[in-house]
Amino acid sequence: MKTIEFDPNGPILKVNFKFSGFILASYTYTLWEAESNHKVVYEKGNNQNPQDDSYQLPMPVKANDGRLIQLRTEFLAQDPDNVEKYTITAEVYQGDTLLDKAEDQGDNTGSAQSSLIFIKLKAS
Amino acid sequence: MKKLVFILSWLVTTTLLAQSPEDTTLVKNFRLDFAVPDMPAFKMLGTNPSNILRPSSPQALSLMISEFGGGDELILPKSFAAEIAPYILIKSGSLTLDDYDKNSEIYSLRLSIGTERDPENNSTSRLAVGARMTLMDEGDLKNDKEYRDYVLKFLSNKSIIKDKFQSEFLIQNNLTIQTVVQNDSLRQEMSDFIDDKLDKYEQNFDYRLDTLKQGFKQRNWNKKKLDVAVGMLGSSPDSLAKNVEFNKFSLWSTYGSPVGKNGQLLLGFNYNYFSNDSTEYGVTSLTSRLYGGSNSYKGFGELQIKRDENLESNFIYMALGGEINIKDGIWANISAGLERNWTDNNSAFVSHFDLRFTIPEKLKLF
Repeated sequence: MKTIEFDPNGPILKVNFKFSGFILASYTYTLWEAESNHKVVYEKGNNQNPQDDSYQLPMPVKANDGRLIQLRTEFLAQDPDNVEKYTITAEVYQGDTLLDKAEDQGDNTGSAQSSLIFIKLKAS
Repeated sequence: MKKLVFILSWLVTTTLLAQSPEDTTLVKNFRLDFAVPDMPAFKMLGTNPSNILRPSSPQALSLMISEFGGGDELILPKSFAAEIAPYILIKSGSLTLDDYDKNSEIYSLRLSIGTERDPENNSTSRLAVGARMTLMDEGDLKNDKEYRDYVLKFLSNKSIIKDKFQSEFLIQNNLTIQTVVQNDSLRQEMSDFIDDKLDKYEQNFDYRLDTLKQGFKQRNWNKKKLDVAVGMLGSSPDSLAKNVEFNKFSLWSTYGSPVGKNGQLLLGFNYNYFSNDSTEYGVTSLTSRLYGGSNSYKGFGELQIKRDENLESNFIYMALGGEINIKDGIWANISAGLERNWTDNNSAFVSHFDLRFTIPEKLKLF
């Protein structure tokens, strides 16, 4: 699990999801409350349109301290013979600045595949 | 003689088409348009009397060699050609779905280069370059929006169900998600719990997805396809190809269409323009080829009409042939037929054999 630090007094936080390796991907994005099983945000999406795979985290910014981002992706490679690797990335931005990212990489198999990424947010 | 060839051609193709029409495995594996590459640069070398350029799906890298033998000696191939799909090679793992949707024609672009060795002095005597694109491919699942919507919905349901089982695990074990993700053994336990529940709930989710995929493939495999290609051929007096002069330019267009469940008809157009110091002329061909068989073993019958402006002659070419998948990534292509000069009333038997190589499915390059 990756821990990403942010400025509690800085601009709004944002998370971006990217799916490369020529895959069809559907995902669920969950923002878990700190030390709790309460889901602050729960969204569903897919990689048909990359413009809608970006989500602003709730305000105030400092309220995100200790929260956990979960990206669960179910995917299927479209041309595994030619495009043999996939990469699924979750990037955390504060304003326009990329703070850090978590990646899952692997081989495309041509059958249904899964990926699970967690990022813990920590106020610096 | 031509009647005999025609009857034999008809018998072979109809026999092949009649084989197990309800055999779903045959239908599933019958991916004629996905099998063996055909390269413009190789065609330019003129090693095969057939002028049809069969449609094929892009491969990152493929090779063709031909004409090995000379008398009793085993010698190096006389002709060699290689084809690459530059967009696939460059983008590879960084390719997104959006990239593909915006550049699907460029994705299908393939560039080829071929050389032919002069057997007399063992030097390169001819050099060919070619390019091809697939303008229409209704049979390709990558382009099927309905298939894509089905798969995305299927995958979305799986993701949502997994989240539900995850919550169930947390409640049952009185754990928070933060506790689980920081402990590898708990995380594995949660993953096993989800997979186990998923198998019971969905009764092998992956099998259902594969079934969906195969269903679309069976429905799609013989849909329409249109390829176009161009190429040019140069001659060089030396092995270093320093003074290559291009004197042949070619254009191909090939349309593929289904014939029943187990057959595929290709209709091809080819125009060659020749230019040298003394003359300029064109050669035009119209070709039809009918395939039948399975992906690994297939036969075909072919009929071609050609007009040669230089000889002021019309030719007809009839052939029977086959393609065999020898091993993963290795194909043999063999054909034999009769070419008849319709204007001068003379005939000649023609045969052809080549080997084709693509990256084996089991080999991982990137």
